[in-house]
Amino acid sequence: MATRSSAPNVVFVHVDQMRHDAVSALGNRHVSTPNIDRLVADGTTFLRSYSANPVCCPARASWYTGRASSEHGVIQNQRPLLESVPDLGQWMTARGYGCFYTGKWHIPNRRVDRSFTLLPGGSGHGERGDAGVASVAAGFLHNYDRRKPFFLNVGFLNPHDCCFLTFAPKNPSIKFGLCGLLHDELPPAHGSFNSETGATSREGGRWDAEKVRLYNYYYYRMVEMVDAEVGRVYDALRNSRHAENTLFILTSDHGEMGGQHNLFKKSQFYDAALRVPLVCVFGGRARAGTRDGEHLVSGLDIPATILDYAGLEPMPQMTVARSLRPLLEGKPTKWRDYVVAESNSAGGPRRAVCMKDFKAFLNQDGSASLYSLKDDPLEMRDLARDPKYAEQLGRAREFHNEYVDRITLHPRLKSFGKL
Amino acid sequence: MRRRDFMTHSIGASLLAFLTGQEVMARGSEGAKGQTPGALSALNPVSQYAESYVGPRGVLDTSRRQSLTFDVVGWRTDKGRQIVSTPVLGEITVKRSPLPGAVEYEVAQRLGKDETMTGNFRCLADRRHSLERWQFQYALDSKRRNIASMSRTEQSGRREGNKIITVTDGAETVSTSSAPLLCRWGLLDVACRMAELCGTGDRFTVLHEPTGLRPDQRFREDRRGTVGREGETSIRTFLQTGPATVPTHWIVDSQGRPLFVSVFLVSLALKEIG
Repeated sequence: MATRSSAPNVVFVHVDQMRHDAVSALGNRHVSTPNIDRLVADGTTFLRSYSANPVCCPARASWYTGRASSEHGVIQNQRPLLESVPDLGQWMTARGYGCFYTGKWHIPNRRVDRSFTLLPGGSGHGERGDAGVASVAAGFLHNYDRRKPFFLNVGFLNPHDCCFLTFAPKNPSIKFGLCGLLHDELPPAHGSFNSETGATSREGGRWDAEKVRLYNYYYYRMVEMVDAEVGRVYDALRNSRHAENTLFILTSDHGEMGGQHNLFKKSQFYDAALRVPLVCVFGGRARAGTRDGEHLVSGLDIPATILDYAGLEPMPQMTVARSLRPLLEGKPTKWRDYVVAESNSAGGPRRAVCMKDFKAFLNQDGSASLYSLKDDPLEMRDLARDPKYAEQLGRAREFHNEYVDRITLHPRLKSFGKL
Repeated sequence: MRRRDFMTHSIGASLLAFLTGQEVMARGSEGAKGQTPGALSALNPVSQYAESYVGPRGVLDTSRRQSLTFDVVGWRTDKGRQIVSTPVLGEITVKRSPLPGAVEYEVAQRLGKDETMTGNFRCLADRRHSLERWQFQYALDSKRRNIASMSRTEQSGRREGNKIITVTDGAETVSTSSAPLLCRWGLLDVACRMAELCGTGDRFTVLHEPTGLRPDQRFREDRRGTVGREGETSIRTFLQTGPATVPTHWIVDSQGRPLFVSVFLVSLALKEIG
């Protein structure tokens, strides 16, 4: 049982739809994120952090269960979480933690107030709701004085507000008339954007390069808005009595395509949607100013890390998740060679196998795509049919099959199968 | 001219335009004298609300005490296909009191069932209504008193030369900036002469409570148009951009009244001058 004297507190802050590279400290000159930059300076940033499933509900369910989508059942938005799978709130409450939640939850078939003490805050929009969430979280950190260690969860919406931009032109809330006035300030179109074909959103129709650039201009402002709110929570922690004994984690459920490969939003295995920011800060107990581009990390690892630091046993069948603690503390450890992400968006179930230098997209019928992340970071050249890369593709399939053996499939789902 | 007319036709044009996916045109044809196409792009986020919008009676008079009341307006869609409603999410009342050498704004905001902000903002009586000092409280109500108190944020701040000193829930932060410091409430009175803020290279820091200070904000004049049945009422739109600001339009009528502050998902619409 956790006691105040022995167990650290945890603040788990998550944002929605933030791309891994939308951080100014990591070199993006089109966005200004002074507060996340402080986290990067104060903690360890994992540069090869991948969503377990690049859509809201599945990714979030994986954070809170430590299990893959095909295990917990949330394979798509609105698919229900398996009742028998415990979540972090239930697990840690039963073991002595005070567990609190404010903001976006979005895990179907699991009421947040059954697993956490629900604090007020949150709406459907980051533009309106995030400020309230930050105020609640800051107030909590300022006022909490109970003996139990706490686990505070802060769910921001932004930059997810960008989803509403693609409703145009039928819903013209985006001010397309600004393309001319802001022309010189708009971020450039990505190298993978094909201006001849344009980008297509389901609701909004075809977008040319200027509109995509304006979309990304809005997107980066939304990132900056949530950066400010993250800063408020971080400042509140640093100014509180809990500063020295609290693990602070920031991540996102998935990224944002932003017109890359002529696509918007999420549900894709390209890095823009699959790779997410992940920063961990813990005073003297985790390395500061470290950027880890070597180790492959999954959203599944977050609950394993929290439980490790809390001194609590893992939840049942967390067979894929690994605690990041040895990496945060700089201790030698044998690490994994791959991370698998799942997706059940349009087109059926797919898997991504992310390896050190290659990434494979695998389909159930055996077809695949393969990209060299070292030579082709824009992921434009599919090497799957090139005999020179047959070995890499074969390895990806082996890793996938190993993954299939390790997970415990949801009782009502069909197996993706081995390849 | 009936008050309703001055917006109805322009919004009718807006409605027609966005249903057909075309850029919005001000009332009248493109190229007609005094007309500029696309002026109402700035009004897109409040377009449905503005269909039945009745502008307020009264004029702004910054030499006396007045109150401005705004609806806080959102929008909802039919699964992304079109805006089906622009609900009123809350209300903001701004009371202005001129003082010797200063202007004080008392603000009360309510959003939804449970979100409140109250504050006092003291500005210099200069052309920009530069922010001198402020204090506000922000809270989310809850039936559980301990939870409500937990959500409360209190901030006070002041400008001392190039220093901006803020105290948030007891913790002090000092930042340095030579840029003029403004607040949204003072900008409502400055809107009638916002062109003065639109110089090349001018940057401002704007307080956006409860979050904090937004640096490097810039104002530019965007398109104008004429509205009203006879095209006799002109609207000027001023664009605010900068870090953490989605493009925000300050929309001013020919009397210098700030009719809308149009943002993206949450905008303001002036409904009463008292």
